Amino acid sequence: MTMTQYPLLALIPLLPLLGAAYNAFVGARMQKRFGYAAVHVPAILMPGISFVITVLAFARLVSLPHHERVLTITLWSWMPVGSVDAGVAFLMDPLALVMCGFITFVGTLIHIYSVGYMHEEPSYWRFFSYLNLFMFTMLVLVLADNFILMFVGWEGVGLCSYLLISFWYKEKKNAVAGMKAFIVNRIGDFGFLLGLLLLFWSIHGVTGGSSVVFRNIEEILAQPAVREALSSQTVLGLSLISMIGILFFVGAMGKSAQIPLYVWLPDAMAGPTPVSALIHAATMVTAGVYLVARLHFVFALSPLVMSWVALVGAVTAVFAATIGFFQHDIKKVLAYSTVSQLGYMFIGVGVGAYWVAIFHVMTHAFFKACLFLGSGSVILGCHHEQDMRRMGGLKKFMPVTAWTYFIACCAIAGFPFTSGFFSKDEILWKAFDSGNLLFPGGGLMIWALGALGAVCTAFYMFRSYYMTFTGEYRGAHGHNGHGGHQPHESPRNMTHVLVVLAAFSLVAGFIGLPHLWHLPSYLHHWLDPVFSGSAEIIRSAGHGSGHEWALMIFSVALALTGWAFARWLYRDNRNAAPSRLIESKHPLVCGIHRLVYNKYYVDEIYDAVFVGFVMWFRKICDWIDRNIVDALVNFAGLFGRLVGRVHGLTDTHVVDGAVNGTAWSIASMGSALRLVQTGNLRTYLYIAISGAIALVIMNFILFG
Amino acid sequence: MEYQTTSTLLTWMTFLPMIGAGLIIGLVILNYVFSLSKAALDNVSRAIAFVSTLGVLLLAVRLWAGFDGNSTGMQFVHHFVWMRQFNIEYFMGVDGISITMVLLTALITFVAMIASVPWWGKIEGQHFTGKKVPGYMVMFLLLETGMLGTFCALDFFQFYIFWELMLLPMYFLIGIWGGPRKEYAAIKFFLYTLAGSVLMLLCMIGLYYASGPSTLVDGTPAQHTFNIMALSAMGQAGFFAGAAPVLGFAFSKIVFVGLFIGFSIKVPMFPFHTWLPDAHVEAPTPISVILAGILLKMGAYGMLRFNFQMLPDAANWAAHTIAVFGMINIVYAAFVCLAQKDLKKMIAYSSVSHMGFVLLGMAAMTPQGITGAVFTMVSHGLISPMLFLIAGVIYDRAHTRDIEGFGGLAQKMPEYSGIMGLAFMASLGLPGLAGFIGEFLVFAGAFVKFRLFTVVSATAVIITAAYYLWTIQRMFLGKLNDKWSTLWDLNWRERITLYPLGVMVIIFGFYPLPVFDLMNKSLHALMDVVCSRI
Amino acid sequence: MQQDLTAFCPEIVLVAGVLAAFVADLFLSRKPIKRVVVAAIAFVTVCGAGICLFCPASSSGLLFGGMVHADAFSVYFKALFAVAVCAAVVFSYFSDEVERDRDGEYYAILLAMTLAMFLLSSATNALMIFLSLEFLSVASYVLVAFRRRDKRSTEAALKYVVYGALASGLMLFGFSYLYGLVGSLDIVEIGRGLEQIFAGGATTSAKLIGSVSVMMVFAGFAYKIAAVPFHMWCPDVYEGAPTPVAAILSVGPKAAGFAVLIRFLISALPAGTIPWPAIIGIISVATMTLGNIAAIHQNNIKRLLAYSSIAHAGYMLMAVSAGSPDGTSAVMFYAAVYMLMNLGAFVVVMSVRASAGGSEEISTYDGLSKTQPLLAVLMTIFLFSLVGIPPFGGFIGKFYLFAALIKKAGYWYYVIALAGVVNSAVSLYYYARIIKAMFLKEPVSGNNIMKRAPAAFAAIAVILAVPVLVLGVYWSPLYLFAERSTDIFK
Repeated sequence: MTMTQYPLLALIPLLPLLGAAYNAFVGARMQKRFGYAAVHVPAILMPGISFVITVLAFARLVSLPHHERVLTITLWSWMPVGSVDAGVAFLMDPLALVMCGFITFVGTLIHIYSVGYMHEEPSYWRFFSYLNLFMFTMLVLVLADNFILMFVGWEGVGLCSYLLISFWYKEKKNAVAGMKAFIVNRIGDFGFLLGLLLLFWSIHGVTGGSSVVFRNIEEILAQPAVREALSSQTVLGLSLISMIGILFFVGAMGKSAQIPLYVWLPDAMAGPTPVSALIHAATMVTAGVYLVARLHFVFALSPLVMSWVALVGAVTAVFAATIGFFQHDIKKVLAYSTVSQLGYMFIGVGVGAYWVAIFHVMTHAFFKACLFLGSGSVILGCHHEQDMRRMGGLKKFMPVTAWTYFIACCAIAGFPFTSGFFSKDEILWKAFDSGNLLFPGGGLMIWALGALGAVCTAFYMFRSYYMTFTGEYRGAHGHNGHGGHQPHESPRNMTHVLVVLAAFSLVAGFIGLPHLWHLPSYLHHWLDPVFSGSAEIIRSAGHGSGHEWALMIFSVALALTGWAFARWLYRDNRNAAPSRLIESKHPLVCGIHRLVYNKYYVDEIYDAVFVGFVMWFRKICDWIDRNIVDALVNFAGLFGRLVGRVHGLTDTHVVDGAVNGTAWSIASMGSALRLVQTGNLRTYLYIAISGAIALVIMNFILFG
Repeated sequence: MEYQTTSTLLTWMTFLPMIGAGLIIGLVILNYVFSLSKAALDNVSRAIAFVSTLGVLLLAVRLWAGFDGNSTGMQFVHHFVWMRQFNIEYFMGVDGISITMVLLTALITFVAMIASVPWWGKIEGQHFTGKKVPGYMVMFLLLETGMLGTFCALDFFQFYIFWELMLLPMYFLIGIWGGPRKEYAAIKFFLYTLAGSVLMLLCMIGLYYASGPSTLVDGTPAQHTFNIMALSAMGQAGFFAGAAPVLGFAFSKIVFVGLFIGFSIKVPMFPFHTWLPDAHVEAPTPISVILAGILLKMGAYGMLRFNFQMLPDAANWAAHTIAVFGMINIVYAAFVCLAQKDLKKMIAYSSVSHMGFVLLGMAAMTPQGITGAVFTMVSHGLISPMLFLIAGVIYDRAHTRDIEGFGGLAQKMPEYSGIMGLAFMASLGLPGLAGFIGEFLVFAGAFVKFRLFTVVSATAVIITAAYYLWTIQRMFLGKLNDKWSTLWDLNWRERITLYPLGVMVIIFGFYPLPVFDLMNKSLHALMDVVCSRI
Repeated sequence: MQQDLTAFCPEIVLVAGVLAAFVADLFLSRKPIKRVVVAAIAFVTVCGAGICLFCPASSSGLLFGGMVHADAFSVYFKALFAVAVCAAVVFSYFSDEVERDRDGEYYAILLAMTLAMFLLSSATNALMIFLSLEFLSVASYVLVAFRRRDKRSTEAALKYVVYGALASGLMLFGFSYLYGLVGSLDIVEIGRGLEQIFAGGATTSAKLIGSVSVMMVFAGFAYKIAAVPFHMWCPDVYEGAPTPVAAILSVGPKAAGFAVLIRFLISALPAGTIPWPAIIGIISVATMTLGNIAAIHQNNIKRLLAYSSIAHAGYMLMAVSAGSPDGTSAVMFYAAVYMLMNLGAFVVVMSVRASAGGSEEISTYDGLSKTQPLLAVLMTIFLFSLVGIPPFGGFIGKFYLFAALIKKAGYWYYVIALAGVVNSAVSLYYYARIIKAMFLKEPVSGNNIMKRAPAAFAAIAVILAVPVLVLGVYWSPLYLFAERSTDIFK
């Protein structure tokens, strides 16, 4: 496999880093001296240039033969220890290019949008510095050519999301949300790390050499012998390869907010909306999907893990969608919809349709970013109001926002010919058609769950649209007459971004047209060389095109149903059904409602169990340290104190297990001796005599 | 192989501070004769101490420049017979392992010195930098001599002398310039360390008499030897494994245990760690910096130099136990951290936790493990000083370290918060910062040998994140506690102590090669002794 | 056997000195002059004796029909005594505890005591041993009781006398038995005799009597070096006696005791007779442990130093029990270092006592580093040296003691060594108490300096501190001296 050196590659991540450094160190002063432009112009420029370079790289890749489309650049060797051959090296293959492309593109757009959104923020520079730092880490994650460098990005994005979620740190709840995000992510990273170690050493155990570079591992795993060994050897009853897969999947779950590690994402909405759009919708949260796709050569080897991935994805898709029903905070709705969309992507990778998953990642990036930014523009327009119950009728105040939001809703709901339609349908079809799922019902079950999720999605997305944009405005000025709180359309730079994104959510789907229509699927063809390695392992159930047509029509029907239902219930909120539902006293109804409304109490359970345990255990450890270890070490002290007690001379006020416990206790022995040392001459003599006699006797007994 | 003197650089480095101390003492005596003003006396002695530590740093740079990373042997050897009775030699030299420590010592001591002068930044209220200054400086310089000597000494007797030489200054530095419970902390530190080192003394004598004949540097034959190189050669030849048993235990094993206990008190290893929180909390900031940055490393260094290099068989025998203790250190201390209210105490326990990585990595005896262990020694030697300096900054301003008591400081002290964030992130092993590399290599090295222990230890990455972030959240985020509205941000003294360390932490995070280049060859030599190559 | 008195010249010088001191005391009337003159005589005499030691004749063999053996071994100790007494003369001169009106006899008795130590260290005959031991004791009694008006002093003296009487009684008893057994008082002869007895020639009862009598003899030595269980007198006597006297008692007689003990053990108890190494080992562990533990609770610095001197006797016995040439030279080396550092500590005590109006409580030392920094630093040096921490002479001494033990590589010796190191770790605690008082505590307004102590004390302390420091890094000359002095036992 020949690889092409492409030095420019290094610039793609490094430029945003420069931007971040610039704002971190001189940003504050620049902002004071020259105003905000001095902050955001470079901050926008850097990712912009990265995007341009990405395009250049694309051109370069296209110019290469189909199966040699790999650009690399190795900056320096990083930790050359044993067979850990990690280098600071970047690699761009078609997969990385796709990721890179939309990350830089959407990223730049969101930077532009933020100029408007954050315009009154005093620590403007800090925001852009973080944002650029995030771009850097995200691009490192995508472009890394080995696990360890990828891990840098992997944890780096976690850090940035922590920083950005708690950006408004004066609110305690934001700070806590950030902390939660980071720690939950760390649980995922724990899995990632162990998976990496297990993979590394398992390969080492088989071949005697090992590597942490993706391409080398792929080549090694291509050898049948190695595959055989890894799937035959077992650890804890699972085959090595499955264990590795599961561990990596734990990492993916953490990053991509899958059950059971999804809890941080909804809280992450505490961050500024552009952050939610960029990090918690478009890019970072898809890192897990990217990881699985990147490691297709590992996952494909273990049908077991694949099935689990698909199942977890499907369940998450439905689970999160249902929670979306009763949320009132517009961003929360979007958050749960993100979780559920990520579920779809995992269905994709789970059934081995890697390119489709990536396809959905990309389209989702467009329409979800559009939705979030739309909601952001709404929130800004309504003076930082996020509760949809105090919105409504905003369409007349902010038409552009409304239209773009609507388009994005169509896309996510999967209306025909929107981008979401193509990607999601392809996923559902692949799931239905998948042949290597291990559990009964296989693809059908996954497909059913996915379809259910689809109708829910259509419902709650349009619910949010109608609650927000149609009917009467129920906001602040309704109560106090003066029109100062009139909602207003957002500045132009924001709306333009919305328009662009809306446009892309409409048309982006056309690069991945279904084979069914006998039109070229560019994306599939583009990504083909990446996944060819595992292609032959992925089996299809071999359903005919008839099925595919049926499914396609069916899912369109589902989308329309969801839309119609939402429209009926929530359009210009005349319909009393929702309120009646909520007021209903019927135990079953309100029980379910409360359950769903409180997100199935998952957070509470976690707090009670895990956090509770840790908080208890730390107290135990601390107690042990102060009262046992400190005393145990000075067992001499304890012993001495016992002796002292025998003499009935314990110094009670010094009985604390400190090191001078030793001395003190011996001291108490000492005072015992002092009793002997009375100064009374007769005792002296007695003792001397008896001592002499003792000597004699001892000597006689011992050696006589 | 026989080492002849090639350079006296190390001797100069080691004794330069002592010369400085001598000058200060002379100054004090002069002060008796014609009494100078206190301010003058203080500042001159500060200046002397400053210059000598700086001089050491420059010599260290010179040393680095002259060091040849491609030779496994000792370099900059200064070697002559010291006491013909008992064949005691004066033998200084550095290899890849010790030079990293020597450089670290020179750097950290200089940083600590900057932190112990009241210049370049205001200090309000009663502060240790104004108290008995000449005495402080003398003790400080003696301490530096002791530390450098310990890392450079290649004769066991000489090593022991330097090792003990550190005790007295440290006792006084904690005891006189320390915090409220200084007397207790000082004597606790002293007793623990002495208890450890007397054990070491016995083992040292035992090794001496067990050692075979060798020749002194001047060619005269010697029946026994203290020469560490010779002893290691004998040990690796299985000399001590075969020696006559002691108290019914195999010689090498009991000596290993004795030495190990001696060193593990310094590391400190559970359950001998309880001196450390007290010492750290009570010691003045620069001394905590030195304690955490350098003294803890001496234990680990001693283990590598003696336990592993001289008694490889016993090391293999003890590996599992060491790994278990390493694991306990890591996880247990992490949980204890989570329970601390005092910032400095939390940081102290985090040091215990991180030294656990060193133990685990050494116990693994794989290239990754041992390299990781040594690199962790370096990275922790850069990070923990930052942490203690940071704790000192807030203590100088607020005169309290109660984490709960703060809140929202980020508004008043943004720069400080940034630095603290960097230090915390580095300490919790964020990839891209120095802490990660050692941590990862240790895990990588230990995983293949002790799967369970590694997995358990790896849970610490979560706990560590938890206690650091929780601390940040409680101290810096949330509403500003009005009590602290008068606090001010970093001053220049603090900047020049913190920024260099921060920069190095970042650089070594992405470009650790300089460190690896220094130590790789020597580590390989060591691994050939103990490791199964992987 | 030659009868050349030149080998005896040091002792002769001393005798002359004693007489001169008495005469001067008689004929000089004016106090100040008298003090100076007598002290000068004493000083010159001791120095003279010391110089005589180094003329080769003084180590040239048996004298007086094998009563005393002037050999390198004894010369080493004699030199040590000479140094100690020189110092003693000086600080006694400046101390206010020595009653000024009776200087003459004081110095005369001091010289007599020196003579006794000289004799004791070279005595090779049981009778001679007993006599010189008594001579030494009597001299010590008088010195201890020198402050007649001070109750504590006299009481201490009384205890000392009675206790000494008992011990020497036991010893005499033992000697007489030995004489009965082997029919000779020459210790070498005794050795041969015992060898035959224990070779199996004699009955069990004879063996028993032999060992019993040897134990009795040990009692005498143990009393001199203040080893358990014959240590009881030590704290009281040190506390009661004038500090200069306590100082000299804590080094001189103790060293002399070791000299004669070693000589007796090696000559009179050859291998195969009494298994004395084990016994001595047990005594040493008991002694050092008891000394250290008891010292912890003392608040009177002189008592504390008394117990510490007991502990150090234990350390030295440790090496004695090794019974090897290394052990012997280690003990001799340690004796020298111990003399320096202990005298030093006592000198500091004198100075503080003088400036603090006779108080001997440890609380007197609070904040000494502020009021008298020099003294505080010197005291620190001496104390840390007593703990045995590098880079002070005390460490080298301890190192040799342990080395001698471990070289023997036997179960016993490892156990004893372990006990030894544990003890030296414990000992840190009470020495550190004084250091803590001096450096970590603030001076209490109560014990501010009443009057300035004579600078001479500080001067002597400095002079003693220098070798303590030097021996920490360069000690081979002294060690070689000690090593060469043990040749006779090889």
